Amino acid sequence: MTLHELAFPSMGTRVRLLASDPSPLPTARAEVERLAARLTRFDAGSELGALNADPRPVVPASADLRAAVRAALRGAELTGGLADPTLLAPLERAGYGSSLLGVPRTPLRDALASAPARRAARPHPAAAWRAVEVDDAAGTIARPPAVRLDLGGSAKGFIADRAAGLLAPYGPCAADCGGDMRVHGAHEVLAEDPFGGEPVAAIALCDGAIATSGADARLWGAASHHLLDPATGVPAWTGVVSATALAPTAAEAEALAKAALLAGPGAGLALLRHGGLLVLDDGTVLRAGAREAVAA
Amino acid sequence: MAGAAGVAAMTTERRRPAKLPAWPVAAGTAGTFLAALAFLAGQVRDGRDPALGPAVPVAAKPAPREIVVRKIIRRVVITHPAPRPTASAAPPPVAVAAPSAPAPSAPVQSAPAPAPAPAPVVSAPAPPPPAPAPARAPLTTRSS
Repeated sequence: MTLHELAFPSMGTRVRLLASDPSPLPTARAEVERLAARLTRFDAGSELGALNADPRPVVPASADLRAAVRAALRGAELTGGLADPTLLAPLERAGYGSSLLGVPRTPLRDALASAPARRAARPHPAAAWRAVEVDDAAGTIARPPAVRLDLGGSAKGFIADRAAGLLAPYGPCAADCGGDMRVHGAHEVLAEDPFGGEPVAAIALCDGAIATSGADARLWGAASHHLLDPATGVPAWTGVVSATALAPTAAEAEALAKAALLAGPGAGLALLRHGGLLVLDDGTVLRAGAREAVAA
Repeated sequence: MAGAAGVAAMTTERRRPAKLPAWPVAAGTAGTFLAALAFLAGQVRDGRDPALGPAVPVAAKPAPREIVVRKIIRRVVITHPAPRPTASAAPPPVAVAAPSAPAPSAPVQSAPAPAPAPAPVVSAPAPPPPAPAPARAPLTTRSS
């Protein structure tokens, strides 16, 4: 079977849409770009930017934004608050207030050498995400005005799910938003080595999703990255540099991958309930589940 | 004396006719009755009841209506001017080979380029459809 591919930059990464029938690809691309523009926090004019700037406790929101916030909250629920969408203020304090496109990336091995002692991350005890409420009947999102949302991680999975939903009626397909991927049909997915080597695994995936979260993607300064310990609000160095998770949806896979990295090698494997793998600081690969077909 | 004896012999031997039994008469009567009954039953079943006279149709079958179907076909041709190719245009879709089995054991290999897409059926120049091409890369999950 031949799959047609449409690749383009979006959300600060590369999006790939693959389908057996090329006719829905432009529509799916338009949907990806429309949702990305609505859910970015880097544009004050986006709907998410307007929500974060709104002083009212209850704000009208589109169905898209409500669905994206709901997906992020579900990720927080699944991970006990490790995948926390309310960490925008700490992210900005850590130096991730704007897009890092074009910013030189610190090599991973250098960052590992400069990183503090390894420690598993913990959920924030206040769990501000529990104060966020989505009301579809009223068409609103309620949250304390001081709570600002960052959908940067979860939105990629959410949008991959949406795009795959448009492609799936035409046959086997895949929607890959920077490694957060939802597929319909049988596909093989390679897990990239965060140290730049050969793929660490080849994973057979059928009608499901996969996502990877890693410190290597956005490294700046001596040892700063975008995956924060919710309890401390600083970049987490847990002994895991990359986590790959399988799940029924890409939004769920993204949350599980992020939480597995934050939880560290021991608890992280337990979080990969649908399968996946961890790459540790020294390059060791730990596998969960039995869906990996080949390890390089 | 001999003549008188001969006459007596002729008159004393008259035989009485044998009495017929009753059952052939009864059987013949019943058979005739049943035959007449069967004949009349057939007549009634066919709608020719002798007591009612010949059948008269209750209602005449209406003549079929003639229906004329008119189909109006409007052909509308929409033409789009071909956009100018620009340097920032998105790359065209390319093709990758997907495994047919749910659990492949090796990475997806590139497939040869399929035949070009058919020409568009429009009267005006239109943007050419994206040309399929071999895969640039297998599906890869990575940190983002």
